[in-house]
Amino acid sequence: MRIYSRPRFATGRVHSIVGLAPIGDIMELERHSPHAQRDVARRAIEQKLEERLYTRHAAVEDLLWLVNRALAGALPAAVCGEGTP
Amino acid sequence: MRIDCEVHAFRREARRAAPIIDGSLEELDGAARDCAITGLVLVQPSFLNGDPTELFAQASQARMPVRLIPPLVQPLALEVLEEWGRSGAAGLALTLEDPDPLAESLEAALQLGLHLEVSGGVEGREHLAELLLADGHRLVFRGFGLADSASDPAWDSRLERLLTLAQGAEVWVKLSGVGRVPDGWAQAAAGRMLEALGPEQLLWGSDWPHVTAAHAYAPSYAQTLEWLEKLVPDKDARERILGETSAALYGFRSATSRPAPA
Repeated sequence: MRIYSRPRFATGRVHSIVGLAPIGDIMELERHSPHAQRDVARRAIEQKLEERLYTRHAAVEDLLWLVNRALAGALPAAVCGEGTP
Repeated sequence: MRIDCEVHAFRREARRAAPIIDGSLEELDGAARDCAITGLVLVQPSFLNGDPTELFAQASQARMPVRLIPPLVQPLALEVLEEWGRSGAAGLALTLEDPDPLAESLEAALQLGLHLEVSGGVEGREHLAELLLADGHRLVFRGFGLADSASDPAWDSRLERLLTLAQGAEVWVKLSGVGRVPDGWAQAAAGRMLEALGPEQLLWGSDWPHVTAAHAYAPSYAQTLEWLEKLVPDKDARERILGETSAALYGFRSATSRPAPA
C-alpha cells in the first residue's frame, strides 16, 4: 500500500533543506525506514478490524431501532386501554 | 493450585547454541514441584522459532497439569488451531510487528477461545491492541509488556499507556524476565502495575530454564520465586497471581488457590 503518490515525491525532490538533502530524498528515506514500514503494515489489519467493529455496531443499532419501533407500536395501545380485558 | 505461567521445555538435542542444557519437562517438573508449583504453562522458546513440534512432544510427557502457548508466526487454518486447542493450547504467542498476514488466523483464534500472548512490548501498537480487545480478544503481554527496561517506571509514558489500555480490559501482564531486567526496575514496574491493575490482571513466569543467562539454569528455580516475592511482597496478592488469576485465564480445572506450605 502506498501512502504518497510519486508526483508528490517528484515535486519535493527539486527543493532542498540546507545542509541535508533534497526533501524528496529525505521523505523517500523515511518512507523506507523501519518505523514507516511498521505503520504501513499495521494499516490493513486495523482497517479490517475497524470494518468488523463498524458492522457490528451497525447491526446493534438496527436491532435497537427495531426494538424501539416495536415498543413504540405497543405503547399507545396500552395507554389507550385497548389491551385491557 | 500455584501456576508458573512461562516455562520452556525442550530436549537437549533441540539446542543448537551454547549453553547446551537439558530443558526436558522431567527436569522442569522436579524443580517446580520442589517449590510447590502445581501447574505449568509451556511457552515456545524463541530458539525453536515457529515449529511447535517440540513443544507438543514435551507436553505429552507432563506429569502435572500443563497448558501450551504455541507460536503464531504464519497464517494457520482453523483446523490446525482447533487441533492445537485439543492438544492443550490455551493461547498463541506472537508479536504485533507484522500482523497483517495473521488476520484470518486471529479471527480463528477468537472463535476457538485462544488468547494472544504478545511479546516485544505494546509500544507503538496501542491502537491495534485496542481494536483486538474491542473485537473480543484477550491479550497477555509478556515481559512486563514493554520492549525494554530503559526508562524509569515512575516516568515511563509507555508504561502509562499500557496501564491505561489494560485497566478494566481483558488484558493481563506477565511479570517475567528475571535476570534480563534490573531488579530495581522490575520492583518499581511491578509496584505500579499492582497499584493500577491489581493481582487480578498479573501473572508470573519463571522463564525457566534460562538459556540466555551467563550460566545454564541460573538463576535457580527457587530464586525466580524469591524474585516474585520481592516484586509482590504482599502474600495474598502473590498467591492470587499464582493461583486464581492464572487458573482462570489458562483454564486449569481447579481455580482455587492453595497457600504454599510453610
